[in-house]
Amino acid sequence: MFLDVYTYTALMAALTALLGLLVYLVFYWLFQEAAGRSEVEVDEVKRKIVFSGFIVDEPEFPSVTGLVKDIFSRAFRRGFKLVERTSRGLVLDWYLIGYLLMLTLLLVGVVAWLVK
Amino acid sequence: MVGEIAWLILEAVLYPGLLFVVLMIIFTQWLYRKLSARIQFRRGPIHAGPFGILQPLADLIKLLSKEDVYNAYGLGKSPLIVISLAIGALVAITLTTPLAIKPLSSPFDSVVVLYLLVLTPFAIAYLAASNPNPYTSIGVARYLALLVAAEPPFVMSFLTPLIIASKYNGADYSVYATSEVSWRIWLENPLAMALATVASFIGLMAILMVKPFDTPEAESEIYWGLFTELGGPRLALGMFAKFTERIVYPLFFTLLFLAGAWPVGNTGLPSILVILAKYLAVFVVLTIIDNSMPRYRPDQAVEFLIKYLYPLAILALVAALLL
Repeated sequence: MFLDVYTYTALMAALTALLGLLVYLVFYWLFQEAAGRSEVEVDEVKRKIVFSGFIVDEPEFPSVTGLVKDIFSRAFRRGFKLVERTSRGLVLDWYLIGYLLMLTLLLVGVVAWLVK
Repeated sequence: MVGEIAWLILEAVLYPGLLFVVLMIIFTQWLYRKLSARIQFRRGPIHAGPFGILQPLADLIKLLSKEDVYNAYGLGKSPLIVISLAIGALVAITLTTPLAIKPLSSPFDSVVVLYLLVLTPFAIAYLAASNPNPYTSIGVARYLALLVAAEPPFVMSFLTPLIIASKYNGADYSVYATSEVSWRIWLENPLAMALATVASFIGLMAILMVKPFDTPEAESEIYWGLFTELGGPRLALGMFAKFTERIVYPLFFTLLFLAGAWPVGNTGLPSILVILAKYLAVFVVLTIIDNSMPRYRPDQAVEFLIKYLYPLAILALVAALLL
């Protein structure tokens, strides 16, 4: 079926939603809810994170973005440092420019209100 | 109109939709296990069904029947909904391939196909990250780094045949129209196609976490990385998404880079058989690579992809645009 681009996009979105719902119903809801709940066991480690047989009450979750940054910094040592320095400078510059722009707008707003 | 919609729903649910994808997963996972076992001097699955072919189905049912347990820091239903939608997206785009009896296509449909194609890896990352564990965090970070390095060049190489087909054959950036002429574009711009094929295959390996790019799972270092904290139905849906990726990505690679249904036309049973045979050949090659390569370190994988894959994909794109 050759469709126009809008119909095609809407159709693919609808099919994705329909198939997603079907996957959820058949592969999750049917087994977990409709066919009766599977045997539920309750013990003291349930829903806890256990390391080497010990329950860890507050496990450390390393920052994912920090780890991604670490992988890239190891892959491109010199290049990464350069990019990091430049981007940090740019962020500071843009922050300053944005801040000045906001102050100017505020000032213009106050002046306009006073003149009116 | 009502008849067409009913036909479309039938295709989406049965063939080449959900049922077909599930059957393909069962067959390809059995094939993967048998081939891996042969390479490692084992026998592989033998008990469930003839030659053990029903073992993947038995594993799926076992996982689905288990209690849904997630840790105290985990999210409840949202990861399940996201991963189900991602699987739905992958299954939906099979309807745009010549495997469908009445394939869906439109000008610029490649934009929608690409969007839905690159969505699933992020859904897998979300499913994993929503059940936090220190090893999961490391796995997710490695996966995201890999995706940042592999997805843009994969998309660029995916666009290359579309550009050539649109330039010379009026394909209008449609995946189906490009698959109809994908044998001809090899003659029209062999350089761009050769570069794009290599780039696309490497990108495919990285996105599918085929060795040497399986750093997010790395069993011997971080237990199971991405999937460490998943169990029961959550693990089943995560693996379902991963295995669906292993069907849909190589299928599109076959259609765009391996001349689709050539030497037969794009319609009828012969075309379906030719496409499936080519797809299986790609799958077998991926399986053999997966079983015979060592693993990169995460930084080595990212460095390789950015140093070699990006230039290759950019060159292919430039060659497609200029030559």
